[in-house]
Amino acid sequence: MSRPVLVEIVGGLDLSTVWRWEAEVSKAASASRTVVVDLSRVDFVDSAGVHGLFRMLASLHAQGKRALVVAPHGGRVRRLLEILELQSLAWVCDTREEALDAHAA
Amino acid sequence: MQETATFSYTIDDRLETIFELRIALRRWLADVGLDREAVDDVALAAWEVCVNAVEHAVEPRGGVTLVASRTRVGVRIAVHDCGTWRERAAQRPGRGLGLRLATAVMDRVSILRDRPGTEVVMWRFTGGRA
Repeated sequence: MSRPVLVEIVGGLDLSTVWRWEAEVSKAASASRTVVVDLSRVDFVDSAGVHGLFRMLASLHAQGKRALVVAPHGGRVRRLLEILELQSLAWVCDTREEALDAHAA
Repeated sequence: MQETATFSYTIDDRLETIFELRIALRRWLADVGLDREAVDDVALAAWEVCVNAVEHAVEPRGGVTLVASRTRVGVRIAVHDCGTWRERAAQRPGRGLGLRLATAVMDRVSILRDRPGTEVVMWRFTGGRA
């Protein structure tokens, strides 16, 4: 089992930044079979950001990679995933430790 | 209750102006007593509608104006543009999700197209003190 690679998205995940983060995740995916996308420090996410996140997850899935998403309860990303009823799109964890445990399990 | 507090801001088709609007609106929403989640939700809904207006309007040069009012029952956000909306123009991936998101985080969203341009009126009834 290869070591998971971590991408931490910080600040805005919106229409002005989403392309850059997609490129980061895509680059990270070439280094491991498992990618942890940590969204704990995202302070603004818009529809373009949510859609970009789906694209990242779909792309990882298509490459046979495992994606784990860190989006704590009470945070913006988790709230939007919940109101759009999209939490089931990936394994969503509260903390990075939880994600790494899920990887090891 | 004192007179209704209002906030007004005009943007053009540059993304920076929508960023500036979001920052100023957030500050105003907090000043009129909304809690953190309501501030985040209303600012997001306003952002989505403004981005849509700028992307959709055929002739957005007249600008897009947002007027926010704090009343006893909540916050009303009205976004007006002078353009004619192109329903299928400028297909950015994921567009359409913006209005869905705005509708999900606000309590009421109406789109009025029967006047020159388009007006989107949104209400948030809860969150913070009146």
